[in-house]
Amino acid sequence: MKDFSKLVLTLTAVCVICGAVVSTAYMVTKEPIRIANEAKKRASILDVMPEGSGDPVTKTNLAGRIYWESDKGYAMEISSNSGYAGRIDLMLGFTKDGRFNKYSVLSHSETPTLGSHITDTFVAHVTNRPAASTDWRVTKDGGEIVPISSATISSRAVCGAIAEGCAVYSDILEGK
Amino acid sequence: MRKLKIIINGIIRENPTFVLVLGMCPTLATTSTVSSGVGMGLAAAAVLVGSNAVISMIRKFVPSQVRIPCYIVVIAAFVTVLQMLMQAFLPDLYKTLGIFIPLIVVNCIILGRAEAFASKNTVADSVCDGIGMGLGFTFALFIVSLVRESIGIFAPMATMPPGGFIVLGCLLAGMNRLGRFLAKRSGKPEPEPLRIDCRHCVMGCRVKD
Repeated sequence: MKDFSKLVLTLTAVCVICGAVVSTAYMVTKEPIRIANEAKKRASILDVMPEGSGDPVTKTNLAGRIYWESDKGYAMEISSNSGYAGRIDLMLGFTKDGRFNKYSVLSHSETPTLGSHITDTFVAHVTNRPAASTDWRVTKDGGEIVPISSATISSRAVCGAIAEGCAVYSDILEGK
Repeated sequence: MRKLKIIINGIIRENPTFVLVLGMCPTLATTSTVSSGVGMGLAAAAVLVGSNAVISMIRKFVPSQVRIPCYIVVIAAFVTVLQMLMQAFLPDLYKTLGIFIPLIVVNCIILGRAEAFASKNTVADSVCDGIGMGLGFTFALFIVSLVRESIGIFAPMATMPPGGFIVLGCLLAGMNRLGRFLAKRSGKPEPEPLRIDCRHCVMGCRVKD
């Protein structure tokens, strides 16, 4: 019995001490983490907005979608669940005169060296196109966008998300 | 001198990936590119040094029947704290390494070294073992990812999971061949293959012969 209570006490003590350490670390890092995440989001908004944009302001359209507006353009977050390896989160940027500016990838798990090119080389395939009149499908499906070679599924997912963003964008322009 | 020997032991003679064949999940998962492979190695090394030190400190208070849950709690706490600190104060590093950090908890090398080394040796020696094993793991991941990423330029299969198994298998075979060749040249008897039984197992649980 004495042995047994020693086992219980030791394990309890280790758990309580570790719990205390983790919760202290949580309290200390909670605020800095929030600030760091906000800075990261802000950086990606500024990245996709037309060059030389001023401070973005957070807004909500009638459908309840959050977007950001600056003096030169708009930015919004869109995600797609049809990536090759699941969810892809994107930040899309639009100009004020009806063009899709560019996007940046917030998070993805596409195949490294294939689908992962959506974070770099593929941006140039879609950048600076008219939002409404572009056929946002890959060439294989009859659209205008040249997909990443051997990563059509990843390219298709990004194009789908952009098309969805363009619909929201036209709503915003119409004041909906 | 002894400390240096412990460190070098982890890098070469008992290299966790190529010799002990521990921690295969992170090895296969993160070696598709050099940057993620080395990142995983360094993050695991940081946790290994810390967890080895703490486990060595508490080794005298923890009864052997509950040592495994105690070690796991310590390791998990270490990883969680490291993750939060990184997220808060090194957000750029966290962006590249973030997804690998929770994987470290289940890395066999960490628990393996806690069990085989830190639970029987002084704090200073355990820290050296952590440094050596951590660097050995990083070195191994660097080699595997370098091979995979360079082959991947011509044959993308190498960066995908099946390619990982093939490359790792070839490298392990190559390392064994190299070991035999070196032993032959220096006139020593060929190294015995590691036997997976209780006498040879490096996990060193305290089962009596």
